Amino acid sequence: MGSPVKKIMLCSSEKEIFSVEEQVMVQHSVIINNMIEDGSYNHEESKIPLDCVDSKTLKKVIDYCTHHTHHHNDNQEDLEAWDAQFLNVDSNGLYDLLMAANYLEIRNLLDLIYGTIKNMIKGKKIDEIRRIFNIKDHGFTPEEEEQNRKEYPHFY
Amino acid sequence: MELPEGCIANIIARTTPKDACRLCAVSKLFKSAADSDYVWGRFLPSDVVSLVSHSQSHSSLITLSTSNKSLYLALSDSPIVIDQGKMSFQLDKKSGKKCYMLAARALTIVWGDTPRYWQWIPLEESRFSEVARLEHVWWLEIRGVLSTLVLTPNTHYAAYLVFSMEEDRIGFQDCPVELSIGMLGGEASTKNVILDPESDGVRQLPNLRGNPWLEIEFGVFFVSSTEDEQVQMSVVETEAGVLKSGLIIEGIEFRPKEDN
Repeated sequence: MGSPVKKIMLCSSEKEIFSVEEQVMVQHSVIINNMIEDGSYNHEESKIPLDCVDSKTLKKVIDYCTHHTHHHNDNQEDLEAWDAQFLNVDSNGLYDLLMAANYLEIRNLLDLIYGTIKNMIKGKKIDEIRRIFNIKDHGFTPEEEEQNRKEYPHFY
Repeated sequence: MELPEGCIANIIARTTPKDACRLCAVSKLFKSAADSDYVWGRFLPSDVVSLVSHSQSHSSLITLSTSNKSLYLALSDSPIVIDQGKMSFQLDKKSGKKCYMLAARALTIVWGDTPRYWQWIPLEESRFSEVARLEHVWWLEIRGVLSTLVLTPNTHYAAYLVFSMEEDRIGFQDCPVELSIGMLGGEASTKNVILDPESDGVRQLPNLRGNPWLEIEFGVFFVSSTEDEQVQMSVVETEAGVLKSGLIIEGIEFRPKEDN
């Protein structure tokens, strides 16, 4: 019999507690790895508060890390198919996942999301990209915007 | 979704230099991310510092380039001469992939060291300090070789003979020249071309580059990620018994083939 699987507690913005295998999070999240390594996490009483990650998103993040920990020997095609299915979410869901992965520094999940967003904006016109990112205020002065539109009409 | 600038920069770094310039128009935040050293550092080759520092113009390049973007633009706008004047380096503007030209001095030119047949002259229009001018030969034979390790991996490249023709040239109008390209130890592909741009033959003719230079493609080859291969080119006309003169060789250029 091996020793029981070590668990850590993650707390979502709704204060919901998720108990996860320590190894799963340590392998994927730079932040959690650092917390465990420098001893700032106490297994008896600590919960890691993730105030900017809601339960729905945190559950998905944990799913991702768990799958990639236990299936990292799967063939590349299966993993990619799983990833594609995993990221089949609306743009709000994608945004929440990106923010969570960015906060927890989960590099392979970040790569996956960045790549997906890159493909979403590939070859798109500026107006479409503004819609995709829901950019209401582009921050340019009316003169700058007019100048851009005049200079690069094919961008819009 | 309103993303932090760092995330936007990471997304843009995965696109192309051309896209990054376009994405500047999305918003102020996108512009700031798309102009960042982080993004353009990803577009520059990882060995760019050592390449630039071996060039003759490196001091001005480094002082004039206040950002990775301006260094990128400088290196894609005009070539720098490296390798003691025997090679030039440039970035392909759209993709950031590496382009090189082997100077005539880096090629093997049969009779090249005999001034009666070939002269080495400076030419204002050349990036190199000297080019090879053909006085006259019957036996035209030029060979070049390049290690593919210097090129950008996973890329289709084409090699081009870069040359010029003098007004009083002779021997190139009707006489096809054999161009060949291939990997050392592999099969070479060969074609016959007419180097004189004013010929009206049915064979492939050279294309104009910036005056006075012309170029003609040897062929295409693929650079894989790991293998150190030697790509070999040759320009040969030794059989027609025709006296040839008035050809000026600048070098052989390697650049990525448009659609990759």
